[in-house]
Amino acid sequence: MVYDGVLLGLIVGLFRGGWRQSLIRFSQIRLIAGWMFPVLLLVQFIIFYFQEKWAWLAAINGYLFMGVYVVGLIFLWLNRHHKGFKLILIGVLMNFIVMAVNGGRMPVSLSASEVLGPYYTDMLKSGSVISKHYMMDASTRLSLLGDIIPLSKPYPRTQVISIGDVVMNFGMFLFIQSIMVVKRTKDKQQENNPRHA
Amino acid sequence: MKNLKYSRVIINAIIVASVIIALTSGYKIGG
Repeated sequence: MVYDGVLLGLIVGLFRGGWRQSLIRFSQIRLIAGWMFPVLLLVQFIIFYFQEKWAWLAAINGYLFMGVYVVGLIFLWLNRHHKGFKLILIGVLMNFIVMAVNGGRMPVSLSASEVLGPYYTDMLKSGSVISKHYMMDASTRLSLLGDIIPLSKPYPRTQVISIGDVVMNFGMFLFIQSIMVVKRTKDKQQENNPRHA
Repeated sequence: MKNLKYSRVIINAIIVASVIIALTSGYKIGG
């Protein structure tokens, strides 16, 4: 589910919009400062990698993750005119809020994480600072917005996700559909009524 | 007919995937 909205959107878009035409439309996507999102992903990878080596980085990683989300929210806001981006914005905001009120890290339900196996539950219990997640407990605020939804078979992936993740993936699915499919109708209208082209 | 630029398709796929992956909260990313 982490990126399934993208995968599903692309597959459905290719079927609905036609392979070549939908790919042409997809290639024409122009987000405002779209390059910023891969940069934000890269920043998180750098934090993940170096926080094990540098204690000071691990100590402030909550603030850094919050910074990444704030920058991400700003650039989502700048692109809100695209269909689906308001939903993505809402989903990310839900994740941001629950992380912000819990020290900059995402609470994960221990019972939900059992679908992932002992490695991940043990990691949660140990409280090791290796990711932006921590084990949900009685002191957790807004736990409803935390990672509480377990995904397992027959779903092809085993993961634990939040309500915000579901919302943002749905928004991304709508965005990709609007790019790859909707304009085709306009093209057909133009073909049928060339005077309006 | 407009030309299909696969390089731009790949760049845009990276960008839209990054929007979700960078800002998701999912535990066990890529699992």
